[in-house]
Amino acid sequence: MRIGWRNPWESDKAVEITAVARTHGMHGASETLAGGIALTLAALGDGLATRST
Amino acid sequence: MFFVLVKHENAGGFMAEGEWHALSGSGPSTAPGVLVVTFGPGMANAVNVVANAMQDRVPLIFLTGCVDEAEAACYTHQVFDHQVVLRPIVKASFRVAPGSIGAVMEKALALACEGQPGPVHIDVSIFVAEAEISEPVHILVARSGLRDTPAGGPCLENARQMLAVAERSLMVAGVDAVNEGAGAAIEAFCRRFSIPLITSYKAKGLIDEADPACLGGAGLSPRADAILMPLIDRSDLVLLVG
Repeated sequence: MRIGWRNPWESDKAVEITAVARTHGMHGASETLAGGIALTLAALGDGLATRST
Repeated sequence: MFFVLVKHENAGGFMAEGEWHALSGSGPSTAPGVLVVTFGPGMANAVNVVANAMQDRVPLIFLTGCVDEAEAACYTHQVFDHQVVLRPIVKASFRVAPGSIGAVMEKALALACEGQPGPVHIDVSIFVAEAEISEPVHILVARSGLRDTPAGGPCLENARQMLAVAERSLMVAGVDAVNEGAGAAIEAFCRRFSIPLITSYKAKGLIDEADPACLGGAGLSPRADAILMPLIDRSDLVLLVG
């Protein structure tokens, strides 16, 4: 990611799913979900209403 | 394992990366490639691909020949400290001696594959390379505990609240999602919640690039950024996966 992708969003509207600590410093997230992606996505959406555009 | 003799160390390293990608498919359990080079200029020629493996999260066992320590103390031709050059661009660097080979190989394989994969260097001196040595290597199955565990606790509950009320969510996915084989889960999640997906270049192909929900690979193109950045600005939730 080039320089335009440094802090491209406000951290307080970002949620990150990661199995390892992020130390790159290029962006932030208000919530860091430490876990596997597939299983954590399932937990994140569990029971929430489906959305249509 | 089979050997392929190549004309340049850098090309050999990228071939090892390609082989790993081709074989790894949708899972993290594929054995890493091995790049074998001679000492000095041979090692230096591979610095490019080793740095690439570090930044692009490619598991790679990097074996370098080296001059025996007693020889190196009073000899200069093409002799320099491989480990000092490589340490900033590898997950770990080892030098093996008889008796430590099995243990070092175990560590190297585990480190190359765990978490975010990457290169691990092993310096092999001439007397070790020429010797016939038999040491057991107990191969650990390359699974990361966290990869097989969902997040939980208050952070997850906060995130669920954010998702429940968000009207204009976006997802940004990177190479870890590819290495975890998470494409199907990401596609299902994005469809269920009508979330468009931006990927890094390395994560292109996680979902069909022709899918209307796929906004393509981003990160290097100002032309793409001119389209994508306003979407990020207007979003009320950015989900970062991998």
